[in-house]
Amino acid sequence: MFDITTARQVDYSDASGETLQVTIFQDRTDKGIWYLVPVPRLRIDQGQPAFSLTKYLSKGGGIAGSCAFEVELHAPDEAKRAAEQQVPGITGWGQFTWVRGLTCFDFTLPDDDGVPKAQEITITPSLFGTNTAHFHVELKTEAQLNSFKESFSGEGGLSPFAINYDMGVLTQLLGAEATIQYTASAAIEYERKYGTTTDTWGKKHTVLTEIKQNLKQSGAGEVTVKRGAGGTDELVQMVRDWAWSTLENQIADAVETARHLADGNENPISVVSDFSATYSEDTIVEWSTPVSRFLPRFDAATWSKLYHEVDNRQLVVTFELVGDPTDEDHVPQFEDVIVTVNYPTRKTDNTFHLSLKDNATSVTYVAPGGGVFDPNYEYRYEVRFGNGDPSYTSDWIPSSSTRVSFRPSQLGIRNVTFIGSGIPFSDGSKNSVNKVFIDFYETPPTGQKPKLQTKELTENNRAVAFSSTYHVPVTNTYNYRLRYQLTSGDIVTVQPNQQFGSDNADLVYVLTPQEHLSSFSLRAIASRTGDGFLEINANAAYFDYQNPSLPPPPDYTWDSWVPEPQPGLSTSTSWTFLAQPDVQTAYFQLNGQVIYGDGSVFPLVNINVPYSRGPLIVKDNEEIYSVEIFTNQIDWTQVMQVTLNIFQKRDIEGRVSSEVHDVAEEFVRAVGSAGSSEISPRQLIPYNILPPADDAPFKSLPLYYTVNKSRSSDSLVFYYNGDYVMRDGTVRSISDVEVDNKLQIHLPPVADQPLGLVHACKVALGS
Amino acid sequence: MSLTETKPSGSRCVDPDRLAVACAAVGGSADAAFAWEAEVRTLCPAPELGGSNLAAGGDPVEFQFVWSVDSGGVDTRVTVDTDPAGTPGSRLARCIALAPTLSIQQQVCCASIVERRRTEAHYGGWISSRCRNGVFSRKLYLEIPAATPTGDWSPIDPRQFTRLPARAFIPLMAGFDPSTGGIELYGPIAPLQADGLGLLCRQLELPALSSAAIQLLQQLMQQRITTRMPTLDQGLSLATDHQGRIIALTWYAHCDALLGRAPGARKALLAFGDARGWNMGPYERLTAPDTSGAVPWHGVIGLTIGKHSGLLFSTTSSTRPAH
Repeated sequence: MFDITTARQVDYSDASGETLQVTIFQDRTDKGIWYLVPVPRLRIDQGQPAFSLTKYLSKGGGIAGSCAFEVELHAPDEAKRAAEQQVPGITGWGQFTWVRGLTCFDFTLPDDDGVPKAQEITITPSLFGTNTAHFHVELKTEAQLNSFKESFSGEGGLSPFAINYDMGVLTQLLGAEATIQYTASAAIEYERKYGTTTDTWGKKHTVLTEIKQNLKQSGAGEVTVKRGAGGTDELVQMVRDWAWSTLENQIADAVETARHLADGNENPISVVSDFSATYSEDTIVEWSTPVSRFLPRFDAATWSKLYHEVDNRQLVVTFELVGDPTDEDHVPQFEDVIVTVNYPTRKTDNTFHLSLKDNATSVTYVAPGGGVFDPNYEYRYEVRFGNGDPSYTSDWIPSSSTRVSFRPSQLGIRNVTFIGSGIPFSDGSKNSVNKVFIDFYETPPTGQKPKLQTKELTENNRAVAFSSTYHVPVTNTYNYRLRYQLTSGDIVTVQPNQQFGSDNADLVYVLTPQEHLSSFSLRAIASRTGDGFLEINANAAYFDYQNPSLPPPPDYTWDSWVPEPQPGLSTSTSWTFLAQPDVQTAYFQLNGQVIYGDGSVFPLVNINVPYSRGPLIVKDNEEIYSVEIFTNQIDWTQVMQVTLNIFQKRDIEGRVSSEVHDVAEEFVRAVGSAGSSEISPRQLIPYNILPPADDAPFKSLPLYYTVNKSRSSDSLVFYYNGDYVMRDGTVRSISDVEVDNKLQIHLPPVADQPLGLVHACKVALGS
Repeated sequence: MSLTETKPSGSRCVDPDRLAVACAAVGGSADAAFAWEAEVRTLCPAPELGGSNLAAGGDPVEFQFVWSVDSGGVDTRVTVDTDPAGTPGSRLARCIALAPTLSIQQQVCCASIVERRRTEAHYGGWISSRCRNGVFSRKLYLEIPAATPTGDWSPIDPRQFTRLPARAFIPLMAGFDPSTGGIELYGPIAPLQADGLGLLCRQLELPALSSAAIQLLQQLMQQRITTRMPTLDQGLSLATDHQGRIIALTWYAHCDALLGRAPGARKALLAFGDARGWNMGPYERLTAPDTSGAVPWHGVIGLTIGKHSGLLFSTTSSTRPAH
């Protein structure tokens, strides 16, 4: 592992005499070993740049041409030599083990008026070999094609277009401590004030949706770096830079989750809560190593080989392996993937292989154009596992995508690694931990028995991996639960929401069970045609029976909060308190009243808001209720996991529907799929209920969903779906259950209906 | 001339003493303060109005502090909205009336820009002024109509733009300074690669000061700059001499995007300047918090690399807080 406190910038001259810089780090233990952060370059394939620009002369199928090229990371020999001269004692060079990566192509294209517009394409590079990334840009107009020609051709030098790589690698935070903080109310306030401002360059902003980029302006983001032992000014600068990008990434993740949860609100930021995190010294973190280089401009001789003019548009598709399909020893869990493409103009030489060896992680398939361009093709892939295991061959898959990425789950592989970071193992503190049990659950392919594996984590900085090879494609989701066994004998349980497989390595950081700053607030949305609000009075109490907080229960009161009178989003003050919530079962109970603009009052009586769904959003044309789900009847001797989803339908204006509509099964399955239908389901992040652990103080706690009723209607409609994974591997849905006007659902012991059954429930509540 | 013009909304009067305080801050002496205020009031008949598009805070008056990185000396300038309650058209007319005497080449460019104003305008133009040996000299800024091919009137070959490593440079404003006889083009760019600043200097035959400029910015932000220059909204200006040769480039970014809100930005700028022994007096006085602790709105931070000026660092500040 490299030592971030030893970072040094090394100047070197490349082959053309250009002075460039690289960053190097020393190994923490072997002081002779250094690591050089590799830099991007255009890949050279058999002596030629892996680059082509093609102009379509007659039948472009809607485009004027296309540009395809490959980039990779490399450690320039000149840079290594320069480092060895400038830094005494370098005996060898180490290799980074990447856990994450993004590659971005920055370029410019003229719009229809000829005005240059900045463009950016970001893709996930391979984590293996030279981290190759393939780009394919379709150039719609002659002017766009010419701008590429002009940018890439001409005498020597560099094009104005650049490649940025941002790779992540695990290391320890040394010499400094960093705290990152996001304050949602500042972001919302900023939007309210500056939402329509025109900046110095005459550009208008939609501030809130760009909040990731406006963290400093809005005051919503804050980073504090404390210098530690051995810390220098340069290190503090690096850590601050890392902390800002960590904050931005966390906000992006939170916004992405919120997008799934946004209940009829156009802007997902409205449901992102405050958060903060402190990274103390020695914490294992994902260090980012951003690097960039301009792409070259080609001389006339080279250009003649790279620029082509053809009559008909070609089919260009990149097939690639993404993610980390290796086991805990970094051994690939398959031999290779054989891909065959079926397209009329290239029926032979249409099979190729992808593997982690020989840097063959991606291949671009090009088929000649023929007559009218047809973007539709089909492909089939065969995964060869080796060791005499039978291979898996997919059906023919129709597609028109220009990029086909194979995640490990599509190869039947799952590899999730847990890393302890800053867990106080037996340190004598109040939260001293003996060990952490990790309950890992993955949905198996149909017909295979489900697995709930439990492994122990007993020290920091050491990976605990869960690897499975099913030899048939599996879903990319998984669930886990952490059970911290404290020295005091107490158990702290944390089960986050369902996880989605990453295009990079699936890493889970297991942090301290210590209570941390949690928050809750009210958000009010006044619609353009609604009554608005006079005031909201509410008291929220926090309950978490798994991990009780002191005093029991903590609570907070918003007394006569008056949301902004104008249409839009308002936020109350945030209630912050210390807790270690079990995201699955912790909730807030609200009591009080909402007084709408027309003077009518809606009493808030024991409205239970799940911790994972906070803050509470109040709309001026709706009332809020909560549905209580009882799990105590589930027969865990027959059932391995239950997935429960409750959602409502909203129209394109975001108004909750009071009528029962047909719901397609795929709406439940396709998480976050708002689709284009006029009535779209929302709240598509399900609860995943695992069997209670032996040491859990509570074996079955109720779960909650908040639902809304139109103020003009006397009933509300919601939909639910419960899928049970049985211990024998079968998956079934529950039948319709009775829902009374107390909005309670009792999940049955077992499920016996065909998979994917969705039930509608209309409850009369009065208006 | 047919223009679709937008009248600034939300005009409101604020404390007129703000301008007097600001002029006293930059002037240093009573006489100088009086001269500054007189110049501002000549250029802007109602500096106490709000709702101007000159600065995000609505202030029609914005001061700029330009420090020479080598000497630490500060040069103070003021830019004003000549008609805060007017339209882009009336503002343009007033700017031209107040403009300094320009060279023939500059006049040709100006006329060409004015003639092309067929599309919607945001600003029209501004006037800036600086005091040299007790004498104020002015600079005229004209808004460049959208989609105006610069090759038609600018001394800078537009093909040069497409080959520069500054992507999507769209000139929006042209500055005419009689002291150089040239033209300065201002406009937004896509985030510039950090290496691109060096390339720009090389291609434009400007001094190799990009590393020093980036280092300065890193120290100001206390953050590393690795791939792209910081923040999404960036701008660039290219200044030419009377023969059309580029003599300076300036990279701009919003101050609050780099340093956060005004009080924090002020603190960071003062610490940064003081550590280098720069003359921070006028800036410190002008941006002093008011009785409620509010600090004037900060506009942009600029880094200038000039053939003759060397490396310059600048920031702009209104006379009053944004809200």
